[in-house]
Amino acid sequence: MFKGIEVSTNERQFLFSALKSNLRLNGRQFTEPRTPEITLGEEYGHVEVRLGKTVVVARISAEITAPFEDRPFEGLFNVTTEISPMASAIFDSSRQSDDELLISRAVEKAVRRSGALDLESLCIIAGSKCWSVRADLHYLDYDGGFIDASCIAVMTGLLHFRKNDVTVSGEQVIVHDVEEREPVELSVLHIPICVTFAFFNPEDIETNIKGDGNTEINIVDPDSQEEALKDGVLTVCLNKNREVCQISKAGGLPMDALTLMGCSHKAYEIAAKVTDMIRAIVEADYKKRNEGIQYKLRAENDR
Amino acid sequence: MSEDSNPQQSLKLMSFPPSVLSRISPEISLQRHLSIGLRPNLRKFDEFRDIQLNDGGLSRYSANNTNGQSDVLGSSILRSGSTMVVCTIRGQIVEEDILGEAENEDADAINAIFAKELQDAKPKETLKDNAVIYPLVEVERGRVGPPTDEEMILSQRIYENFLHSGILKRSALKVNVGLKSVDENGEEQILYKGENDQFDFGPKRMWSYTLSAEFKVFSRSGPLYELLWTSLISALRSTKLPHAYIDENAADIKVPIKMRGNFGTVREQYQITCDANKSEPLSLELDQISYGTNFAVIDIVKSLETTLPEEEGEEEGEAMDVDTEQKSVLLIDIEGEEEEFCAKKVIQVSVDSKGESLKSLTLSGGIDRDSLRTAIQLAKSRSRVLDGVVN
Amino acid sequence: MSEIEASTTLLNRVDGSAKLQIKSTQIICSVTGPIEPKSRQELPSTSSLSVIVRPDVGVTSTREKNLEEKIRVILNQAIAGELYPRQNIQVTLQILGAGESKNYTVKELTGMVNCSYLALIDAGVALRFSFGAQCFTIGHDDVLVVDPTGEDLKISKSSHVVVYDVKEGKVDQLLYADSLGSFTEEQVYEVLGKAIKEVEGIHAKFREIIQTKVEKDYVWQF
Repeated sequence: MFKGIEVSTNERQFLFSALKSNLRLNGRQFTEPRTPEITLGEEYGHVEVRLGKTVVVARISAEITAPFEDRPFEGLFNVTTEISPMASAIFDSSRQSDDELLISRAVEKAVRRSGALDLESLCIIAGSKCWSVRADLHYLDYDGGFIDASCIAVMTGLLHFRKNDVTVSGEQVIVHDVEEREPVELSVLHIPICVTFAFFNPEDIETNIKGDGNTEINIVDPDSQEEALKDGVLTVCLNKNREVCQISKAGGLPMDALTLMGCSHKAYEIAAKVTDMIRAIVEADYKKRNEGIQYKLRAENDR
Repeated sequence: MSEDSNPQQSLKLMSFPPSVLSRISPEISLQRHLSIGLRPNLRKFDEFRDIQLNDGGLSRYSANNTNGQSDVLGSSILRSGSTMVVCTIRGQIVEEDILGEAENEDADAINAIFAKELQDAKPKETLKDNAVIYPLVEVERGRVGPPTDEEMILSQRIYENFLHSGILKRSALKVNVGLKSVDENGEEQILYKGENDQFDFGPKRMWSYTLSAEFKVFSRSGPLYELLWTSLISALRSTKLPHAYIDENAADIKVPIKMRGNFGTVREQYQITCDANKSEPLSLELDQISYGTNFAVIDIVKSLETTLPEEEGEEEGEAMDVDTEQKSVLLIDIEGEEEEFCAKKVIQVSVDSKGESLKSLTLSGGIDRDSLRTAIQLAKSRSRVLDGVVN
Repeated sequence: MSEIEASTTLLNRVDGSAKLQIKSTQIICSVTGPIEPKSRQELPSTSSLSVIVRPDVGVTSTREKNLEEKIRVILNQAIAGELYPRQNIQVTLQILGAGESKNYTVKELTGMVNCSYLALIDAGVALRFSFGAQCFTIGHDDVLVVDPTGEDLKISKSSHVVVYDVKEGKVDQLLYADSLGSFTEEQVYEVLGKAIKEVEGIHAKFREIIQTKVEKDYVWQF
């Protein structure tokens, strides 16, 4: 996928022959994704997601701004995905590569355009004040699956984030400090999860005739080497309600319609599992924080 | 340099005129100059460049305004050596967010409930009342393009130093909003607070000026930060802020709208207009004004000295042979390519106009205590001199 | 003495990396190099250094450019560039937690300098000497605060960052110092003097971290 990761012919052939004998070099099954490790930071909306060696950090922040003139009832939500050379030297800091663009577009579509965040709930005073929520993604290490990891990171971040409570009195907006009033959570409508598949055609491209003789192989959640050698890629983004939010298949091997169905089914199972995991982690964190707060309150009451 | 006993005999020496040598090897050029007690720009080690300042007549309030009704509120033109800096101040009026602490009956009540204790306990934030200015630096280099790193860094340094200096307070930028009204006789008049004691003005909104400073630098030679800062101070001292008023008829309009089943009102922005005739000078915190000076510490390298061609003069050659220690010199007010390129040890100091308290200090590259002491002393006296020039 | 938590060799696709946490300031740094430079970066007799600073929240602005320049000045003195002529060393710093308001940069700068030191060591880039940084504030009561918190900064009259080089565990020369606010000449000397002990303390801590790292690196030998 990325210009700059050069894979030798030997490695290429080794990977292909391994795939032909139903093996992946990372020891996973074809349909086995990496389990994300999600760590929540001390601050609200600070999430680190590890997918194997891939590390993505999301920071969610919110400030009060004026809404767009044509959308006075809606707040703003932006996702920035700039990949620094920290992830890998192939990402040039001075200009955006095509792959980088593809990743930002996919993430943008998955979490912003799918309406995961209720923008109308961000409105404070119609036409003059609203919350502007931004998600900054930092890519620290690269081993494939940037889109999948980003999506998990942003969604976990949005669920975890709490914005300051506000009081509206006339034309005035009073922002309450965290110590004054319990900050409020964002209204997240659904949790879209991206699952990426890589396609390989172990035979030559010319002999890739769809039908009975189709020897195409597809694997879930490719790592960086598999991404570098793949012949085609598919990203399915869906939520736990079995709603597909985005399907992105940018070039590569032409694909069988039935394979798409099969992949979507597989993706659903993965997405459901990941969604439960995210919810459990955020809930556990919330409980942990709440215990502290209740303790504090009790101390005050005694006095 | 070669270890051979006498390499000159077998090799033909190349010689360059000073202007060429300074470009091929600025280090050697600088060392040669310093070894004869001169700087490449022919100044003494501790000699400053002269600074000339005027307001350039660019501002609409300038006495020798040549620019008619321009939008420039304050300006200065600074010349120092071959460098020229043009600084223009422009302003915009923005509506301020009314904060929780603002003077408002409702806010008072709410603050009293939620924040009273907290606010009493909290010490005051230093930067809370300091205003910012938005600088834009453009160093002319014969072509257009996105800002260079140098321009961005200069802008940021001016921004940071200005914010931390406290030269301008937020309160100085508040717009005293007047109201334009038509009296019984059909005559238009603009009323301002303070002019009429009875006058109580309606809206609970606040406006303030936002100032931006645009710098254009021509024929750059040497570090720019100090020159830009001085020109900014000078421009701000000449800056005047126009009065502004809102039209009685245009005030407070509510526009009902409907969208996706939601009803609401969008409040129309007030039409705020600047008064073409009335203005008042920008009030600066004069005792916070500071001026910057830069210094370079250059080590005299022995090996480069001894390679002086013989025709340079016997006396000097001998004098240097006696002095075998490696020593360093303190150059003031860096100018020219050689000095700038070779200046690895740099001191940048800003001192307030009284020459007492320091406002910023940046040291890089192994500065010894003695050089620092000398530099700060010189910067203090320099600051007093510059204050005289600006006034 | 400030509480520093640091670890090295965290990232897989760069030559050296380090993560550092001082109070609520959290920085991760990666070093790649020496690598082939772009033609405009190439220097005939020494290595070129590119520094990238990325903020935790928001897009990269002039604030980060200014920080990059400060770090470049510091690192250029430390890296033995003559060993890598016509090559480039790329230092990327990602701020994960600023620990201070956007109006200040001292805590981030201190963290980044210290973090880049560990990352450069981890990458095996030749250095002329070790170095360490510490930040200070002076409040309105003229009391010097070592390693201030974000709240200390807000109520401070002046803020200072001092970077010293360290040879044989002892401070040798002043690499960089940056002060902003309102302060006196004596306070500068006080800060510079106080920083010597602080930097030596930080360096001792770094030695431990590096020792642990080296022990781990060569564990296969035993």
